[in-house]
Amino acid sequence: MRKIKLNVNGEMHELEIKDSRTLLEVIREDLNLTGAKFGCGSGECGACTMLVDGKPILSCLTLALEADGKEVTTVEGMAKDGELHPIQQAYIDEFAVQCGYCTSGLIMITKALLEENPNPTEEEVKEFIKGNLCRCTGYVKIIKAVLKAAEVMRRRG
Amino acid sequence: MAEYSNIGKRDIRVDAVKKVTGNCQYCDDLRLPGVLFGRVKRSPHPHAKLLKIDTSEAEKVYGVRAIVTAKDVPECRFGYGLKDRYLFARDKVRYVGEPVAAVAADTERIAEKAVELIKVTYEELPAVFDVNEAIKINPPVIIHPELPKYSRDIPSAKTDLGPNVSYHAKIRAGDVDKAFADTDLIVENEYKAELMHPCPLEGHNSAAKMEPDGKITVWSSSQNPNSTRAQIAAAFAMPVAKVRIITPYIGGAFGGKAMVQTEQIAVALAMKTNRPVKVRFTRSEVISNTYGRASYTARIKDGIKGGKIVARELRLILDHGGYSESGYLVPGNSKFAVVGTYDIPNVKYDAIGAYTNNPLGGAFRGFGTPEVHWAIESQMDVLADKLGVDPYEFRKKHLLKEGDTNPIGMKIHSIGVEECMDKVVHSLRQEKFEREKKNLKRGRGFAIYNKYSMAPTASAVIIKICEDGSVQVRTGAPDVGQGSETVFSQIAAEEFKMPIEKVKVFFGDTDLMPFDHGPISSRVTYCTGNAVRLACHDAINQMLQKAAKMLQTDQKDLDFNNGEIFFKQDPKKSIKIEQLFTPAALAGVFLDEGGELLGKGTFYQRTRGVDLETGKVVFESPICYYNYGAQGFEVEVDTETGVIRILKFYIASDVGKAINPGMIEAQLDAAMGQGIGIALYERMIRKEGKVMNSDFVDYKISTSAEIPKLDNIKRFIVEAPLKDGPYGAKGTGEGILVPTAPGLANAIYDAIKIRFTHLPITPEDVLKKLKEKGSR
Repeated sequence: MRKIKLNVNGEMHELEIKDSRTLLEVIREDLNLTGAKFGCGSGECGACTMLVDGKPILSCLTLALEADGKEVTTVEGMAKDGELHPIQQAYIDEFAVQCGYCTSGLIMITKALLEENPNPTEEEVKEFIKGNLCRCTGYVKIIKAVLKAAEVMRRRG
Repeated sequence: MAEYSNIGKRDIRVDAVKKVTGNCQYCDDLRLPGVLFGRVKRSPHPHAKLLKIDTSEAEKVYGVRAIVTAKDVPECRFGYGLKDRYLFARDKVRYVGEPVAAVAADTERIAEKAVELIKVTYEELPAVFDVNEAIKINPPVIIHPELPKYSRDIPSAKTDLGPNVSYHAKIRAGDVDKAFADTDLIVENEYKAELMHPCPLEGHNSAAKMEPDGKITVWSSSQNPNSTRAQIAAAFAMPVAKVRIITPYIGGAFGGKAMVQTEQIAVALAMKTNRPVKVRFTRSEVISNTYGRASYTARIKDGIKGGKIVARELRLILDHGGYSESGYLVPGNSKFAVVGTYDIPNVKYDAIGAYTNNPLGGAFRGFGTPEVHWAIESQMDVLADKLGVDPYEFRKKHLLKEGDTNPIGMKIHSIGVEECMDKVVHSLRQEKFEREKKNLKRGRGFAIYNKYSMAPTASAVIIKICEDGSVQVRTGAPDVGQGSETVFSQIAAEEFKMPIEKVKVFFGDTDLMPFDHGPISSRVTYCTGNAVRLACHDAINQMLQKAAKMLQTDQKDLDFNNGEIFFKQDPKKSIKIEQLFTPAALAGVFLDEGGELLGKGTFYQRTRGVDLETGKVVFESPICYYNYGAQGFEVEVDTETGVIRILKFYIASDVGKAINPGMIEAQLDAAMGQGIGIALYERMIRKEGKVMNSDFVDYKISTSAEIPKLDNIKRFIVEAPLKDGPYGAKGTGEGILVPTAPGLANAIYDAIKIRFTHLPITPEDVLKKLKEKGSR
């Protein structure tokens, strides 16, 4: 057992955890934030994508203690003061959501992309998000949503 | 054309906000107090006698609460049409991965460790992996010697094949032998595909809990709650009503969650421990041990006279592995694909489902239709090529038309296939393209399709008019992601002439919701949609009756709009829905008579199906409708690497009426994901019945990187109204997957003049064929 501190979506948590537990397990089971999903458990599908200090990580492969003292952002941390993040709004408006199981991870990878590159080309979007699998949408509307969110965010500054 | 206020609008999905904020609850998100976790011990052998199971070491593991084997559950066979399975293997195992035992423990890890310590003694038996060997009259191995004694809910035609055949479906229309004898040209080819998997992102999972009154509650990721309920009841020899299935949101299904998977195992463990037990399959179990689309061989023979096909003989052999699973019904339903698009006077069709010791094959988006089309739509191009005619014109002169009777005697209605094909082919052809650029060879091709929706089938819906003027839809059809919750909301909003925000859909509880066959066979927009309308009409009638009484007038003098009921002659004289209710002292409101304003409706599409020996329609249509469509491609084949790139993708679907064009487009786009994957990468590699690629690294599904440029994707929504569809609508959920593979193969042929007949078409295959061609 080990004590760790996690800043999750701006809230501080002190937790005592087993060394072997993944960040996904701790966030879902101990903090009851179930937005990030278990898709494969081996880092192949991206459904568990979160940001740790702004960088996208596969939380099913990351030990919780690796995130000790760091800032973790999950999909629940995207909307602020009851207002959806432009990425979330773009996913809605573009019909980029179907079953929704990959959506949380895709929204987080989109956030990571747009932080790094506020004006991505279509090819750059496809390349950046290709580790996040979606079985429903064929990605077409997701790519459109990312480009639209980028545009809205640039406009807002 | 009728003017609608909600139908045909691009309303945003009613579930979208919760899905983008992480607030949407799936089965795996549920946490039950006191829950244990289950894991399955599986057979490592494709065919073996089960001699002994020793659980003593596993029982000693700290945190193990129960181990179940066949001894702990009733000796009841169950199955989807053919009862050929036990929950846990008894005398024999028949495929790699067959459940032998299961463990419930405090954590998944403990359960996993205990599973490894269960010792099972087997005596290996000879196995058969080649379906052509398996179907012989005297096969090397008989997998289910007791098959003749198994009970069947749905009968098969007589078969002249061997004891490993589970189902034989037939069409005998006209006289093919006579027609073949008088032809200018006969062309015969064989088309194959490997076992492939639906791969929903949410793996199969469920949790079961014994209730004090002896009932069982199961939270499940099933797309077919009523069937899951029936299969659980069958496995435990209990009345269906004792089982309650709750289905929260579902993370994709595609047919893969149509048949019970984790649920019965969770129930067995919950019964033994008397605690809630959750069973979540690993990704490897999902791919290896839940069914995919059976691998198949389709042999097609066409006879041409005067430039037209006069006879078609097609034989489809499906290898559904050790058990028939949801694959039992695939051969029978595949019949409708053979006769849905083209007018060919003489047709002989045989579809055979067969046992082998391979992994299981069952339902996967299309259910028999992609199999038939891989052969037919490739063959149409082959024939046109041999005749030296345009494949578009060649198809055109064989198309069935509105009002025609097809070869099995069905009256064809709502057939928009020609318009779909025209839109795709014309827009593809009007653009310039460069055929060759060094090692990059380009080509174009297309394919068309039909997809039946099953019958008989039923949906029942309850509508409640609430005291705040809003409307509830209660349905037994869960939303698998396709957007049925939004469609039902739009329909109820349309009928009540109110904004969609005032409608709330409730689904996913077999104790509280009326019956529905569920989101299978592209049926819910049509079937459940119709039931929503019927229930709305009933509720509206009750609402008007109540208002007439309060207003002391005749019901026929009243009309309604947006929550207000008013006099037709004097619209200013009105009351609101809220006023139909009476205030209770300090406790809200109630209805002063009749309890609640509940509208009910059942939409039941009955049929007596087809004659088993001829496939001919007996009485009433054997299906609900056909969805039609077309897909066209421009591809680029790299002759140095064998890589196939899709440059342009055009798709059209005849949906009768697009209730929500935004969601229809989203469905059509799925061909870019699943369709491309199935055509170009997806196959479960098997070695002696064992799946060798059971993760997303080795079982490759398409990623965003393979999608054509957005500007090169065009979608066309065609509307050939369906007479009894809600507002003319029909479903398109499965059809979009049907023409992708043959359409791509036709485009690849156009590029490099090589005909691929075996799916998937991988870069290795392309290089191999190019080499063969070059060396010839």
